[in-house]
Amino acid sequence: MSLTDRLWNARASTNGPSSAVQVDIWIPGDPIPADGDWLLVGVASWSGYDRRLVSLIESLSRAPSRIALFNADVCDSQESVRAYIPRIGFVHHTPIVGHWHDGELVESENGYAGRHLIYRVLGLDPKASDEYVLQRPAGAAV
Amino acid sequence: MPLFRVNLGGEGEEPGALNQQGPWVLDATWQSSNTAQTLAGLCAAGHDFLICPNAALALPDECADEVITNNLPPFDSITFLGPTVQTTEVQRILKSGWVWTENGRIRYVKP
Repeated sequence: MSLTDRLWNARASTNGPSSAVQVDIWIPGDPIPADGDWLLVGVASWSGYDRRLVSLIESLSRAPSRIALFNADVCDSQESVRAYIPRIGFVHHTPIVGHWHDGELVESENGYAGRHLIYRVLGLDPKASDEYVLQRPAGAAV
Repeated sequence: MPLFRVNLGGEGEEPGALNQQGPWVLDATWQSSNTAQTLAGLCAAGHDFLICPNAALALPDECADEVITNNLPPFDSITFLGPTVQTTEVQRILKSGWVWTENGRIRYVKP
């Protein structure tokens, strides 16, 4: 089962066989790693940017941080977002991203800033990554 | 006479169309999801915006030649930003005989 199937079409929370990097599906109440870096990323099935971001994450051969995804489709209020990422400010866009270090939430962002938080923590080139996720040159106006 | 095209929300602005966004774009922290541009920056780049709730588009009946929706949450639902684009509102603002285009494909032609 692909990562997107597990995220948006199923409840299974184990990693698929095709990913080199362990990517978990997280729901409120699941444990938060007590040590090291951990990224929790909320993505929406209707977002073309998010679908390609998940594909990018799935393609990684290694990652310096543990990664978990959650289904942002289920968030129907700002309060419901905070069940996943406490204390995050007003969320305008997906991806909705929290970065934990040694069990503590150290930063959170959404939309463009959220994507670039992911790139930074994972050590990805932001320009090349956005060119892939947005499917157009990163300097384009629209 | 140029066509009147309305782009409802979605990812990226549509050149030459009136781009509708919800009131949240007036939040000082808002920036576009693709390039992190501010609303002022997008307007300066030549994009026209209509700011109003999805559930009550501030447009008259049968004014639009085309309604465009790209990569939107499910219509007639609720997200963390509130109500999404409403099918009834799209149908209301479309001129008779004109089209609703979703992700580049015609979704609906108004009778």
